[in-house]
Amino acid sequence: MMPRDARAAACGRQLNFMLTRLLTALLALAAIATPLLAQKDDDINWLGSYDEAIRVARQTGKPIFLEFRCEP
Amino acid sequence: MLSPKDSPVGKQLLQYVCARIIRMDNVNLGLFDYDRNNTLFYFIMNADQQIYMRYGGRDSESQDTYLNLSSLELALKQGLELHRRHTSGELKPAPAPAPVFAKDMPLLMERTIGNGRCVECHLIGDFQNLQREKNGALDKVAHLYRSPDLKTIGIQLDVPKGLLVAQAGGAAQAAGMQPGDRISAINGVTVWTFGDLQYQYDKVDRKADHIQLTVDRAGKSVDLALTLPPLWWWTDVRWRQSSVDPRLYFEARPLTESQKRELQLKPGGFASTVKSVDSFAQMTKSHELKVGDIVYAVDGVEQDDVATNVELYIKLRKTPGDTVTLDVIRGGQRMKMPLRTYRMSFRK
Repeated sequence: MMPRDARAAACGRQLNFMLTRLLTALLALAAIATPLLAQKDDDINWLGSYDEAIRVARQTGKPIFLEFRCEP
Repeated sequence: MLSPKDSPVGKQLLQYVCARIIRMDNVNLGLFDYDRNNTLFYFIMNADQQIYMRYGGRDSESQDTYLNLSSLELALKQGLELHRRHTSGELKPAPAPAPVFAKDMPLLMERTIGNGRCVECHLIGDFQNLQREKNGALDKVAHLYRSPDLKTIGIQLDVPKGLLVAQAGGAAQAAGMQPGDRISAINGVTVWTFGDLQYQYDKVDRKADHIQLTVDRAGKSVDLALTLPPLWWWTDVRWRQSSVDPRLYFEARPLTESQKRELQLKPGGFASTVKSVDSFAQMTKSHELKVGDIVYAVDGVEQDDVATNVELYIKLRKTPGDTVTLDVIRGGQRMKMPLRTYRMSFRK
């Protein structure tokens, strides 16, 4: 039978290993899911730069729809 | 904005270059001028930086009151039509406003970029007013009481249908406005959306006593001369993050003239009954007013040419942080008591 300290250390190592595997799995899932979510949210391509919007508008001849978003 | 490509709004947006701005550091604030206390605000424009219309705006009740996908779809369609006219040379370009940038506002620069912070929309409006206060140029009626409410002059819009009038009461009804009218101009300036209308309405001189609204009615253009009621510009501004609005922690209702006569108070004065006291009054030791108290003078002044109640008088005429002396009637006894106003604190 293992001494108490050794048992605690072994449990700690096992817990760390399980948490690491869980975290890795979650990150992998996020890596797959994020583009899908982003795709649903980004059906319309939103530029993040005004200058870029002007450039693309000149290139395509399209008008610009400009959103100012401010969260207090 | 969640707008699937095959949705009505999505189909319109696909014909635009869409861009989202969340930092105002390098934005031409002179060109993109709007009430900065809007969480969302939109401009429809072209690559020559000519603005076709504004979309957005709100009231004191909610940031969403006038935001609606159906009215947005209407605006986007109209924007495409204006762009077509611009491309074909039919549209006369408007003169560009003078450019203004955050770097032109010393106080804003000092407190944001100077501190390694980004410039956020609501900070621009607040620091503009703080700068005006510092320079002695603050006109609270115009600079604090922004975006007057159309409902004050009796206009209820059918929001999903843009500028279609649902109901017309008060001053609007008196001017001849009818349900079903579509507002097309204010004081001769064409408007396409609520955002346009509120923006132009905000520019009306606060001393004005009338405006002209043009409506489309059964295919014809009709001009309406609308008489503005007193305090037509007043809105509840407590939702605004505004450092120049003194926090009072009480609300009051003005006395009627007969009530003033009965108490031998100044006719036409701003004597008011306290109708509620915020718990912050006790926490901050701002004042000791009670519901039912009658406040009839502030620092010896009983009347003002604008303010009709004591609350508005202090907000307009005093600077946050000022301590004033109130003349109060409580239980038939007259007394004086101090009131300390506070400057709103929020993330800057």
